[in-house]
Amino acid sequence: MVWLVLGAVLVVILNLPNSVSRRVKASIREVISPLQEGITDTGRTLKEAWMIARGLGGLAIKNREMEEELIQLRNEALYLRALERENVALREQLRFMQKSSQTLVPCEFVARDISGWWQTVRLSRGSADGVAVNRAVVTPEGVIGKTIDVSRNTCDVLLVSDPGCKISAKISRSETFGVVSGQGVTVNEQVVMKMDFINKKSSVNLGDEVVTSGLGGVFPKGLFIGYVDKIYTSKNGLYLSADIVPREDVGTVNYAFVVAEDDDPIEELLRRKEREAEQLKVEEVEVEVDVDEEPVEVEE
Amino acid sequence: MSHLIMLFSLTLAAVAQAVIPSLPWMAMTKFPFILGVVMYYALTRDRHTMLRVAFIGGLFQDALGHTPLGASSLCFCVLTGVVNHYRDLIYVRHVITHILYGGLVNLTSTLFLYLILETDGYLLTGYRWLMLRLGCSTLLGALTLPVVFHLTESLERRLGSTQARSL
Repeated sequence: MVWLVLGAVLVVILNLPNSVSRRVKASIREVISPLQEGITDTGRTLKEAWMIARGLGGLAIKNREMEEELIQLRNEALYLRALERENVALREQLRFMQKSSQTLVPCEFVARDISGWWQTVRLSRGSADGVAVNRAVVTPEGVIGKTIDVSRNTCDVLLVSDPGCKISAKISRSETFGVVSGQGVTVNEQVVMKMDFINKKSSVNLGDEVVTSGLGGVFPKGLFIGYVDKIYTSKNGLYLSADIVPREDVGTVNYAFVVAEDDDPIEELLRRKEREAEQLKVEEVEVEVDVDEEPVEVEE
Repeated sequence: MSHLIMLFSLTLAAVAQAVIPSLPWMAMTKFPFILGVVMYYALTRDRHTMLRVAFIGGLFQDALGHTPLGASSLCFCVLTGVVNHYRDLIYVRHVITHILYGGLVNLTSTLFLYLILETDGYLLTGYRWLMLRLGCSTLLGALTLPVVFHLTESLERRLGSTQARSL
């Protein structure tokens, strides 16, 4: 009897709609994630305490504060460099379009995938902080993945090393487009990605920078992905492929930023036009007021 | 009280399994702490308790990962049913039993989950990676179950669980 009941319950659970299944998972995660965060923080504190006990004094704490500040500053610099490049390009074309602003949400690492089937990590921010599904996750060293599941206070990130993570990319130097997908992690813990569908006639060299192309709607343009490590012809001989290596090990990050929102550039442009129109109306009213004033008498 | 201990053990196992990193050269195989707790109850408790633990443990594992909800529960329920059926024929508290059962059960669980995930198109993996994963699952299962069994039993004894005392 108990087997029948259990079987029926399992059949129902296995056939739940995705939205319901996600909500159930999210509610369980919300209960357990504070524990995970606590244990991860404790581990970090113990590590620092160990460093202090070894005679390094306040260096461990100072190191952590400076690391956090450095991450913030480097991320700002990265964003400003991207802005500068775009500004130059727009000036050359004699066109002006409002740059879409990006809201970056800083997150801390909480835990890894519990099953080991996927290359994912859990971060400490969720929908309550403006994080949504299919958002790019970045560090100052570049893209590390995208969000695939979001609950109120946490989000799961599919790392670029996972074969399921695909990014529309281009080689920065030659503007050659391709698709980057994860190839897992090698035995000596080196993350490897592969860029496919590179035009055979394009110029690709070892060490070339690979960045996001902005196509596909998930990853903003210009984010660093990695360097070209190896170039070879694809199996079918129609394209080139390249092995891409990121700047840092994406699975060992302690902090990351989720791109929370992109203001729609068209809406922003319309809002700016409305502000300008209102400003013009105010100026017109001021001019009318001036006309109504009594004329100044000029003495002969 | 025993229910609280069960929930506490499962929660602790879930957190430990998520936080402790896996190794790339072991095909990212995790220590099966949740399965270890489930197996403890399969070897030492009646059928109803065992199934309850298997169901909840499976839900925890699915909720904290990306496996479809219910897949791990189904796997754990089937495995614990088989283990529970044959437990009268083995030495339940012997460490060799734990090592053998741990390896075998984790291997079967990994293969079962792989078949479910691969059939539904959730995974993109090769056979070489799968073979490595199965081998490492056997090894980690064999190492984990004796430790988890001993710790869970000690916890229950210290907290005065009468069922643990009677073992």
